[in-house]
Amino acid sequence: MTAFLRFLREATTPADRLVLAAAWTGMVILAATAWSAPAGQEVVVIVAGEEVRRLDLDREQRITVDGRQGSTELRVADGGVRFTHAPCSAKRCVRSGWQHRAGASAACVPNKVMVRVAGTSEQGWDAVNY
Amino acid sequence: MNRPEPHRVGWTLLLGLLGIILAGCQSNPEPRHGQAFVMGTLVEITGIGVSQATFTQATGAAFRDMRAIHDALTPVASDNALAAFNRRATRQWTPLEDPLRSLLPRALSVQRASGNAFNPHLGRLVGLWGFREPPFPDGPPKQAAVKALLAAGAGDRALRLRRSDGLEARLTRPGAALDVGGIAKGLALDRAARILRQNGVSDALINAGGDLRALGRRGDRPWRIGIRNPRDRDAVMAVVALEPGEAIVTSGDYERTFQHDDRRYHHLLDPATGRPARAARQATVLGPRATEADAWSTALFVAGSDGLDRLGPTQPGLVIDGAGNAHANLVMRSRLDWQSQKVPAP
Amino acid sequence: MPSTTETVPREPAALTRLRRDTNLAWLAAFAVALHLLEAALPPVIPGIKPGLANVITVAALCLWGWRTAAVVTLLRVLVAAILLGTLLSPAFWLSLGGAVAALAMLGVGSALPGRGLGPVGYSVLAAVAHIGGQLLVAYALFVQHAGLFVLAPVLSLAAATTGTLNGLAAYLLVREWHTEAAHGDGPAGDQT
Repeated sequence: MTAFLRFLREATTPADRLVLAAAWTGMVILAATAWSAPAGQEVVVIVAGEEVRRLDLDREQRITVDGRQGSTELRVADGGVRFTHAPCSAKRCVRSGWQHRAGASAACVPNKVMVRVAGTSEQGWDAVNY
Repeated sequence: MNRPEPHRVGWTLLLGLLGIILAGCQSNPEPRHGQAFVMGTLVEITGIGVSQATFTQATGAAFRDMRAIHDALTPVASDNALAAFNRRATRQWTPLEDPLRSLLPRALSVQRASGNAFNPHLGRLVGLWGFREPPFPDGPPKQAAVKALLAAGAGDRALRLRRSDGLEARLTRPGAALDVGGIAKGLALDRAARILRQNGVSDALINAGGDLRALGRRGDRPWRIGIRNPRDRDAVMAVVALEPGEAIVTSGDYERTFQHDDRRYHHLLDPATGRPARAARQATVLGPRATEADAWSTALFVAGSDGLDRLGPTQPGLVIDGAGNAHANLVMRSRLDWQSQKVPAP
Repeated sequence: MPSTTETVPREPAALTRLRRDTNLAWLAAFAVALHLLEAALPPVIPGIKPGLANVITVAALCLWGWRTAAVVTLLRVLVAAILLGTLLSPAFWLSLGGAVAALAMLGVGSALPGRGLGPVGYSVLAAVAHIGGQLLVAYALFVQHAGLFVLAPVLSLAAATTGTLNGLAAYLLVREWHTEAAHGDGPAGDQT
């Protein structure tokens, strides 16, 4: 170890050491800030325009929220969220399946319940047109 | 060792570079979200570079206006502007008030330009098919009933406008009844965009159940929109960057549907046959105003790929035809960033 | 080692040029070989390469100056691309973008005052600039999406590591060269 340090000292000029120190601290800070940020793994539950809950997408759970028509059941598993039961007739929310990516959303219009995975979409688009 | 003359330029350059790198790390401002259930769908507004107070106030005003438009134009009410118009207009000239006053001239101009592929007065046919509101029926109506309505002019061109004191309109065929489902959402988007701008929101994206209008940009880049595959709700076929203020509207055969005898029936009726149009699965139109883009997407859906000619050379249009092949006019092709491997690029 | 300086105490200018060109050719060939070797070896971590050829760039910079380093590096990128059959392909543009950024950074670094930088400092600067340049080229030409920069921390850490190790290798190479020069070959190139 000391031999290596002596070699390092011999191989570098003061400016080299400055560059080394700057580069390494820079990289460590960059990596630390980039990796400590949560990957947007939270789901926001919104009823009639108001945020009512935030759920951790990594924790498996089932929850029930009350909307305009009755109870809507949500399921969180495998880093995704989906509607499992809704009081509406069309059940489009249930059919829309799992939402995984940041920015993805699904809604039950009659019951006024909506879920959105928090964070900005990492895909190449801000919204989907259909 | 080779050493140039010591000078300060090197250090200055190095520090300057460091500054540029750090400045490059500055990320886009945090977006704000507002959402409401209006017009029978979920409307989401995303704003950029605006204070939460301004944004909440502006989106509140926009949502209220959208609700007012919906209340005035929904076909399921019996006491709104649309119902009042339909009670009178087949018999006599009827004075128009907002929002019909601004809507009908624009509806008529697209009806004319599209050769009646967009028809804003299919109300009786839509009612007969049961597509006004969910739950939708289990089967199609009797062919004789459709024939009878068509004989009464339900699919003909029947809208006339004239200017006397104000703007007046009438419907010249007894089978006609105004149904602005193919254009009202566009109008609501355009008005919401204006209200947001008047209330201090200059960069936003308004998403009314998949039909969108942009305001400004998303920070340092344009708003980017993925166009969904009509047969795979999780897949995006292509991505398009919206110009500031531009709208993108799609009509598809998957929205208000029922299944009968292994056949899918949807709400986009062909005025010529009185039945769901089969020429396309999906039609997408871009334009500076959502109202026209909305009407044109319906027209293009009904007319299929042939409708691209009527759309004109400057309005971008994309059609997925009944067989699943993509067609687009030249302006649209230059705008699309095609992603899908399943659907070949137009 | 046969000595030439003793028999030819003052070599003519043409010979100096010849010596320089020979050095340059050897360096470029050596760099190409390292580049090819790296392309042939399976990557330890996908997307991350040690950048061994940069040792040559840095050594050339320390021994003969920036111009030589630039010529050797650009030659290497071009020749390696021809040999690998990747000329004008995305890989080539990425390689070129990294090389140009690294050379620009080295140009700035070699203008530093005082004792200035040695091989290690140059190498680290070059490695960092290299991935910076590659990311920018990738963003500008191939994936116009900010998601690309999610890779930045991983690549930067890799750059700091490989930059340091390559720098030490370059130092050894330069020291070796000087030892040999002192023993026989005499001052090389424009080092005088």
